[in-house]
This record gives sequence, structure tokens and C-alpha cells, in this order.
Amino acid sequence: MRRLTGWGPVLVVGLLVVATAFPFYWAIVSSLTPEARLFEAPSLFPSQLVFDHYRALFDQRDFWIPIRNSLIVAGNTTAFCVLVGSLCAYALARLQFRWKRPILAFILAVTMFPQISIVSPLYLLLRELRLINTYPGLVLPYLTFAMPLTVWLLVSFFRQLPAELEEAAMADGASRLRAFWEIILPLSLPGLATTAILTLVYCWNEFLFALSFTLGPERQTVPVAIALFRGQYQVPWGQILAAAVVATAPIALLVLLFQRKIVQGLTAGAVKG
Amino acid sequence: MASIKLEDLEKTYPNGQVAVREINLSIADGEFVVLVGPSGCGKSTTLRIVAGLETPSRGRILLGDEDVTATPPQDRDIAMVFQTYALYPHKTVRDNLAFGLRMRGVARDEIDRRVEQAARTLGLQQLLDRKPLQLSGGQRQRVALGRAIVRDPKAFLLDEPLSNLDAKLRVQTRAELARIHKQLGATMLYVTHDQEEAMTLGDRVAVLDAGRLQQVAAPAEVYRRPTNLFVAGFIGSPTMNLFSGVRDATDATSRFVSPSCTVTGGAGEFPAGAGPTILGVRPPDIELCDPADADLAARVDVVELLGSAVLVHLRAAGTEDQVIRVVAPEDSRVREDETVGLRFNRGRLHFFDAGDGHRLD
Amino acid sequence: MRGDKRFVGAESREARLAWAFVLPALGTILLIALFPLAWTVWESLHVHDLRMPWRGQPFVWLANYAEVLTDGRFWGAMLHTAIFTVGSVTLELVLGLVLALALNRAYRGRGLVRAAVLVPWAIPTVVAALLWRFMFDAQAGIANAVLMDIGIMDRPFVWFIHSAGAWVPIILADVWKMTPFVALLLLAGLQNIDTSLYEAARIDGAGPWRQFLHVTLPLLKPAILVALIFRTLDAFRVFDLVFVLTGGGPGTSTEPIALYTFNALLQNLRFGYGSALGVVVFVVTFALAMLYIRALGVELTQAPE
Repeated sequence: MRRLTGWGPVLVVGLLVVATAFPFYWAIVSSLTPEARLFEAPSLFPSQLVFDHYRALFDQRDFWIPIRNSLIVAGNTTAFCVLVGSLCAYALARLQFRWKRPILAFILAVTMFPQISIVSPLYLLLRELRLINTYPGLVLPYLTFAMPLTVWLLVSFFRQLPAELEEAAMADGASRLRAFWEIILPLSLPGLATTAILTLVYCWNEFLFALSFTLGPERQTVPVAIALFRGQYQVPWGQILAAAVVATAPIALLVLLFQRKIVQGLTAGAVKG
Repeated sequence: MASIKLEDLEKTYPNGQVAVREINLSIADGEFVVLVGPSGCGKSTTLRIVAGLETPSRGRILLGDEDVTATPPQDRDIAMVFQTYALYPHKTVRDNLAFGLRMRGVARDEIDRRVEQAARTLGLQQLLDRKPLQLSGGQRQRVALGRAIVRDPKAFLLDEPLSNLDAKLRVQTRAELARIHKQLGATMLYVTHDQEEAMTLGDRVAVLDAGRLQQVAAPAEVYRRPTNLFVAGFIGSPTMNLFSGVRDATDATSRFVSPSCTVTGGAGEFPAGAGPTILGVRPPDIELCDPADADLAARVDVVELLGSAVLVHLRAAGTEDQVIRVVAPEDSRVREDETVGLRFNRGRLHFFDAGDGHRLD
Repeated sequence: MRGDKRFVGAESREARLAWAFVLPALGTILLIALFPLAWTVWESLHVHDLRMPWRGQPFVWLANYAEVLTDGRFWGAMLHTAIFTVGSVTLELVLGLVLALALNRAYRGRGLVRAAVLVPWAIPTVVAALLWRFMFDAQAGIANAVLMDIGIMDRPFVWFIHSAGAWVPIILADVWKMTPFVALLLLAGLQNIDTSLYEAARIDGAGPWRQFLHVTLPLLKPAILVALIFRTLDAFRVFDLVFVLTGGGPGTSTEPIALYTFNALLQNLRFGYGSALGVVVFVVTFALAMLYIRALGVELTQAPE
């Protein structure tokens, strides 16, 4: 690794950090500024901080409902994907069978699927099953992108574990299943956790399906609720920004805590050495 | 413990590459057989087939009297030591040792007893509650061995178990392996690319090249009577000197003539017949002598001190591109660039057919 | 051959287990992704208007596609998508490369910086869009305030009623959100380059610029291509960002193809026509992906052995 020399890279990195952080800073500051002052000449440093918008968000707008909806939908989708996807990924990473490569290629292809192309049949299907504006009516469509993503990430995690460990377990008398349960699964817990976090983030952020398959506030997820915020006379920027901060905080926290693992997971699936 | 028998074993990969073919090998109950060969010769594949980790394309594997060709590895009752040790990183040493017994449903107090016993055999008592990551390379290696010993399996399979150790530890562990083998009377099949390891450890050595068995015999036999050019060149260090030339014989003498040397012997001393031949002489079987009595004269290139002896590299006039290696007593007075005479030990000559490389007797 | 059947038995045991593991996930994907896709194609061959259920769903062959080809709004949407894709992906790749090179140096607090740049990527696109909409708001926006302060403008510019101006916040928001992701992909590629290659190049007399041209760029090519694939396919599907920032406006002057398809389906409830648009989006995406995968070779699915 080359040491940092000269001011060029420092400047680039410094600029980057400022450019990255500024919109967040600005949103947080503005969300704490009284509505009336928002439309005066903006100033970088707030003179007065109030929590009015946050109070209004939960008292008047029941913002906890979209949060609950998002948690239920993202949580269920992630749990199902990791459970079912880990078995699939293990087989694709480790077992020998025909069609392995085509299946892997197919799953990769599905991760690149344009969601908009299947909105129409999913809508008709969910309407037929009376699942529009329900939790299953969101979990099912979410599987279309979450399942291939989970499998793809986990395949690269499983491939990183040395094959000798299972071979040793089998020579020790464990069946494939037993070796998976006793050796592979405990060792891939970090990988499973990272995959779960990434899947959770993708589900939490999803917008198109949630917009298409919900009808009212009672089942809307966080992104849909924020995007559809309306004021009586003008755009309620204070509350929108407060909601944005609330929707972002948990994600930002997760990312900051697990950044190393997340970067590994993201890049291992995409670029190999 | 049980015998192992490989019959007509062959492995072809789906891409058409043949890993091993026509492997026939019997390992007696309690015998230590070493499979040795250069990398890619199929020795690891053979071991993995015996373990059940790979399926042969044809042939049979017998463990004792039982045909285990189609038996999955977990039902074969063999123990395997991997080159990378393959210790379960999330389990303590104790749990690593106990895992195989637990899988086979051994009672808990029996497991404890056997783990303690194996730990005592290998000096691991102090380490039982550590995780593999907290151990040194040598300690990990012993845990890997322990995991095999504790099971009391029908046979031990060892895949280059010493190759990740440093030179000193390797020699120590080699001796310890020999002791364990004697103590347990275990059937062992051991894979290595290191011919010295093969020679010191094995009751018998099986030399493998390009997927085929070249020679299976006791180490001394493989050294003294290599069955073909490959075995001759692979076994023994420093490597055997090879001279290509022509052999002929009259009623009174046998003779080998090459561009650099002419070697004569009494009638019938060399293999009968005439034709293109390769003569092999091991470096310790050549002595430095007065050029007048020599089989050939050569100029000294480099002298390396080995400790108890010197290794002399020489080049003979006419064949300058070929290096001749001679192991001479440590007190030999040879100087670089000096021309000396070399004499071959007549009882220790190896003749090979220049066409197919087979040994001529 | 003797005993061949048993070997098939031993190998098929593993294959059976593999299928048992693979099928639940694969079945799910087939059922909820591939089957609907086929349904979209079928739907696109019908007139199916949910506002006029009495018309039924007559089969009309390729009539919807004929309409697509003569639909000015469709071509406009394709053009907007192309503008957005080329503009944002180019900026992201260039900035991402600069960033990756800067991040590849060792310094204190590197982990923190890496985490910081990851946050915009991880937050909901809707939120990112709202932040930028707020910053470009005509009255409350800080963009106008800054531009007036430094004297570029003398009165507030209403970005979102101007058909060219509306692109500025859209592309800036995407660059802000996705450049870090590109930089991380490229950084992973950079870290795979053996540093002794740079030492060798230095000894051979190559300066920093030559090292970059002859060592970094060629070895980074796979990573650049992967980033390009991911970003292009993503940008082509852009929906959330535009929906929130401009709603496709003013008029339809920033409407990308995904938004037009959404409007045809869920605003106008023309399911036959909207499905035809969906099929077109799929075909174009697929063609782009194929093009890229051809360029990359099959490396993406190859096992790292």
C-alpha cells in the first residue's frame, strides 16, 4: 500500500466527505428549523432548533404506521430469502450436479430484471388473489429481487469457505446435511448476517412495487409514505425532511456498523480477483 | 484396522482429462504405504477416491473384505489428515477431536476417555480448550493427527500432512508419525511429493507418474532397483546421473559407450544384448580417482559442502551441457576448474532401454 | 462396464440433495419472476383496459407494439432515459475512478471515510430525491441561495418548471447517490492489483502517469466493465428518482421509460399497452446485458477457483 503523499488525494477525499455529508447535514438542520423560517434566506448555521416537525410526524401523520409496515414486509422477505436462499446457495457453491452453471447464470440474470416489466401481471395476479394492499401482497413481489440477490451473495460467501472443512467432516462420519448444519452454517454466520442486512436494506428502500400494490396509508411503506406527503397549502418540507431523517437513520447506523462486511459482500459478488 | 485394496481404479473427469488409470494396489492390514510422485500425477486424486470424496470412473475399492466403492465417505470408517489440516475453526481442540466420535454415536464418557488418551499420545493436554486459530502450525498439525487417531478407524489417509511445517519440525513430526504408526499398528496410506519423506516413512513406496503406478516396492528396493527411468530420476537425492549411449558385448567383455565415457565390464556383467541404452549412476556411486584409471574425465564446475560430504558438479569434455553430480567424502581435495577422473561403482550401475525407459537386467 | 451403475448412484445421491436444496428458491424465482414475465408478453398481445371492463380483453396480435412504435411519448421517454443513463453513468465512472484512486492510498481514518461514502448508496432513493428536491427548491433551496450569493444569478431560478433545468437536480442526485458504489467496486479492483507491479514499473522507470496508463487501467478493466454494467442497467430502469423529483415534468420532458410504463399501467389503467411497454423495457435491458456480458466474457458466473 502506498502511503498518502501530496495534498491531491487529501483534497479529493476531503471534498468527497463534504459533498457526501452536506445534504444530510442540510436535511437535519432544516428538519429542526421552524416552518416559517425555512423559506427565508437559508443559512448554513441554524439560529434556532425545534422538534416541532418530528412531533407532528408522529402525532398528526402517524408515521409509525409506515415504519411498522416496512419492518414487517422487509423482515418477512429477508427471513424467507435467507432461509430458502442459503440452501440453494450452498448447493450452487458446493454440490456437483448438472445444470449448476445455467442456474447460476439464470439467477444472475434475474438480479438484472427490470421490475417495471412485471408490474402488470403481478398487479393482476395480486388483484385476483385479493392481496392488493396487504403484507403478503408486498412480500411476494419483493421476493423477485430479494431471492436472487440473497442467493447470489451467499454463493460467493460459501465459496470462500475451504472445501476441506466439509470433506474432513464427512471423513469424520458426518453426512452432507450434518456437515452443512454443524460446520458450514456456524462458519457462515457472518456471511448470512451481511446478506440479511443487505436484503433488508434493499427491501426497506424499495419503491415501485410498494407504490403499485398499496392503496392507502394503512399498508404504505416508508418510502411511499414520504414520497406522497402532501400539505394543505404548500409542500410540508419540515415534516418531509424529518421523515427522511427518520427513514435514513437506522440504515445509516447499520451501514456504519457493518461497513467492512457490506463492502466485502457487495464486491465479492461483483468483482472477482 | 483393515487392509485396503484398489482394483483397476480409473478416474476421468467430465472434461476428458484422465487423472489416474489402472491403479492396482494392495495395502496389508497395519502397513504404511506412501504414494509419491510429482504434482499433478494423480496421487491426491487416488487418496480422495479411497476416502470417498471422489467417485472413480471404474474399478473397485475394498476396505477389509467390504467393497466400499459406492459407500459415501461418512460410512467408510476411514480417517483423513488434510494438507491444510482442515480444523474446524469454530470448535475447540477438544470438540475437534470429539467430532468424529460424536458423529458415530459414541457414548459421552467414552468420547472423553478417548480424547484424553489421544491428547496424551500427542502432548495436546494443555491445548484442549483452545481454538485452532490460537495454535502454532505444529500444534495444529498434531490436532489434525489427533482427530484421526481418536477415531480408531479402519485406515488412515494422510494428504501431504507435513508440507506446511518448517524443515526442522517436519523431521521431528516425521519421526513421531513413524512412532504412532508402530504404536497403533495402523493401516496408513500417505501421499507426498517429497521422495525423502516417502523413503523414510513407508513400509512400501508406490511411485506414481501421469496417473499410472510406476513401481511399488520397499524403499530400499525402489532406490536400488528403480524399475524405469522415471523412478530412477525421481527417487534419490541428489538426482541420479544419466548417460545416453550404446551398449554392446563380446564373448569376453560388456561395454557401454557414450560421447563422454566408455564403461567396460566383464562378460555378462552388463545386461545382455546391444542397442541404445541409458546408463544411470547415483552420485554417491561415483568416486574421484586418478585420470589414468577413470571411466571418464571431467572438469570441476562447483563444489558444494553438504556437511558430512561434498557435492561436486562436473562437466565432461564433449558433453558440456550435461552436469555430472558426484557425492565425495568431505575431505576430498577438489578445486574448481581442475580436471579429475571419475570411476563408476560397477555393482551399482543401472541400465535402461533408451526406447521405453524400462530397466534392463 | 462393471459397476458403472453404482457410481451413477453415488453421484446422483449428491445431485438429488442438490436439487432438493435448489428447488425451493429456484421455484420461487420461476413462479414470481419468470412466470409473470411470460404473462406480461401474453398481456401485451391484448387490449386490456381496466377502466372499460365491458370491452373485455380481445386478442389483437401486435397492435400494441405498432402503437408503441408510433407513440411520440414513448420515443421521448426512451430519449430521456438515454440522456439520463449516459449523463449519470459517465459522471459516476469518472468521479468514481478518481475517488477510488484517492481512497486506495493508506491514511488514518480510511475505514470511516469508506463508511461515510456508503451511506448515500444505502439510503432509500426516495429520500435522496427529496433531499435534492429540497436543495433545488425555488424559494427554500440552498442551490439558488448559493448561486445568487456568488453572483451567477440575480433572482431565484425555478429549476423544476424548466425542461432542461429539471435534469440538473436529477442527474446530480443520482451521481451523489451512486458514485460511492462505483468507487467501491473500482476500489476492490484496485486492491486486487499486486503492489509489486507498481514497484517493478517504478524500477523500469515509469512515472505515476505511465503507471496509471500501463498498470492500473488495463488491470482495472474488468472492474470498470462490471461497474458499467451494473450502473447502465440500473440507470435504464430509473423510476424512484424522477417520480419524486419531477414526476416526469414539466409536462413529460423528464419522463423516463419506466415512469411512462408505470403511468400507462396504473394511471391510465391500459394494461395491454403498458405490458407492451414493459416487454420493450425488458428486451432493451436484456440486449444491453447480453452486449456487456459478451464484452466481459463469461467471467461473472465463473467459480473463483
